[in-house]
Amino acid sequence: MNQDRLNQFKVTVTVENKKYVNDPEGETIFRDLISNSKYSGIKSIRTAKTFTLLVESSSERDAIKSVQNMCEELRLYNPIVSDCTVSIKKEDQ
Amino acid sequence: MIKIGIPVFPGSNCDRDVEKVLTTLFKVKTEFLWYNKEKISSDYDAIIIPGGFSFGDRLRSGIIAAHSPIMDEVKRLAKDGIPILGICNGFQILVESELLPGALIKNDSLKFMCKWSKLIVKNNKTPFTNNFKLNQTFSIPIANGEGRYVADKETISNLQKKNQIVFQYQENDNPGGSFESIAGICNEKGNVVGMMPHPERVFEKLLPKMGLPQDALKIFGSLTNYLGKSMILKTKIRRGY
Repeated sequence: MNQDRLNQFKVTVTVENKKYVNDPEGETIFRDLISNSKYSGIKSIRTAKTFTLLVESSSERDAIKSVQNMCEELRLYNPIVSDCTVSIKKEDQ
Repeated sequence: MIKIGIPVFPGSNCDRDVEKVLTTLFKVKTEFLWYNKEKISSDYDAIIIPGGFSFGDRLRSGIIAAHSPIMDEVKRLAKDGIPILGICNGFQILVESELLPGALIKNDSLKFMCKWSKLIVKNNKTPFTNNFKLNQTFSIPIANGEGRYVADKETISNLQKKNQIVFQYQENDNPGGSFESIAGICNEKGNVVGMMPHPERVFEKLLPKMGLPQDALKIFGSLTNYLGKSMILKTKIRRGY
């Protein structure tokens, strides 16, 4: 059969508050943990939520596209307050 | 007789409180509607989505409930102009269903806030606020971890222009850090209202602090008042006068 071979891709989705929404968790981590430590080079921090998905797809592009569509359609992230980035790493066989 | 539907999700926990207020104080009929019901009859006069932690607040408060079958039916009724009220988690479900604009995120204190608050009525034209005077203040309990109402500038200015801000917290008392101190909003038509505080928790005489009036119950009184009037209207139309 002349079927496209499906590959597995590890897709990472990161959901982070938009700039206009402050991030009290990040602010607390920065103020109370980092800013009074020796890591004085670190100037700010934003928290985010990460999802790791295993996706079967014929190509990287299709895998990203389908995850992006899923994020929009099922509102995995809330577009009003968050930005969502989708990135990929081909799963080692 | 007035019939009010109360959608129940796994994790709802204020459903019975809402039922008790409506049946004992206002003598209306209520029915619980389990979340996976795909079809509900059109003879509900109003829907009240109760508070709680639907689906354990997994992913985001209200998001999974917003995708459950009953919400398609709630959306249909909302479109028909049926009054819909979402309380606390119910409000979160309404914003995640996009029946109301904006979003509710973690309180800026990062804490679960459980206390008495004071609200100001900013719109007394909705089915849930018509028994209040404009700018009337009243006490009401809040209990939430994600009660901070946020929206972009354009949405906020639209809410202001179209009189969709229904309740605001009183000055210096904005427990979650909501934009514009918003505690409750409505849709453009005014039939869908969401609010973070819990009016049903004012019912038990033991709960309000000594001497505090139970004004928050006017939210339910407004609804029965509104429905009573529209029922009289329906009968009048039927009788031809």
